[in-house]
Amino acid sequence: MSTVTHAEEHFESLERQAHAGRLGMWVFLASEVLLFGALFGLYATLRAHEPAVFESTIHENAKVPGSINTAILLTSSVLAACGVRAVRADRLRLAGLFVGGTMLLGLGFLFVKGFEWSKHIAKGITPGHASEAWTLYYVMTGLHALHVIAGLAVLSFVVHGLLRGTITEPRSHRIEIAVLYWHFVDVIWIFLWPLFYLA
Amino acid sequence: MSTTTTRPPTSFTPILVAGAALLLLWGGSFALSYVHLGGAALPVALVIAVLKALIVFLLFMELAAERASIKVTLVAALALGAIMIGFMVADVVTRDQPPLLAPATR
Repeated sequence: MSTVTHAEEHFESLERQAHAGRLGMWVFLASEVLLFGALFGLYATLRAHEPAVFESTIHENAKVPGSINTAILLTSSVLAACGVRAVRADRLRLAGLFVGGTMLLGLGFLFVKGFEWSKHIAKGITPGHASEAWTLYYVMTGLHALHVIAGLAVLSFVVHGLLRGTITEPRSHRIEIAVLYWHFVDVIWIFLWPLFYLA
Repeated sequence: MSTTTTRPPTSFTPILVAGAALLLLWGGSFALSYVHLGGAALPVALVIAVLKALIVFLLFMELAAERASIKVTLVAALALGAIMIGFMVADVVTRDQPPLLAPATR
């Protein structure tokens, strides 16, 4: 196992390097807030303009699969956070199990999402051929699903790092930064769920 | 220059407690969706969503233990997003009806 405890040469300490890495990820997430913010703004304006169309869309939408997916993502965030704590405690094998569990739940989310979309498409509800509310549903949940796929790719690097020994207790910031992205994907879904499935 | 900060502990307990709270809120949102709340349904659902997001931000993403630079980054993005959404909605809900109607065809 690697026991590297020194920082890259352009950082004065490992802690400063970790902070720089986390700050970089938060700046990236801030840009993502603005990306999704524009779409949430579009949702708000369209719903303010035609509330009845959105209410009927939500009524027709697949509430149970959408709600199951919410529970899946929330649970995956719990496992991801446990993975970070496990690395800090130098329990790398346990961390690998937590991150692997997170990835399995992410794949489960995509499977349920595919099932949900296929049901809508079978009913003839397709982007551009249904109401603006449905088109926005496909755009926003589709963009979110792409983020889930990107999150799975990031987590696969974490698993690789755990296996190779490049993510260890002194370098726990590497898993922290990766998991920040996964949690952010979870937060976006936390708002998509009520807007498209509940109310 | 001091570079020491207190990193969060390694205990799993706070994470598991927060996870249980998240699932309770999830159950609450799901159950309330079957209750007729009228116009209050969306605001109530969004308030619960904000509570869940706060748990994830503060405990899972450890924003509560982060330095000010990171907190300011997120708050600035959220504030700018809120201003953008606010003006977009204000435009739609305060827009006047077209002053002229199309002339009736004879």
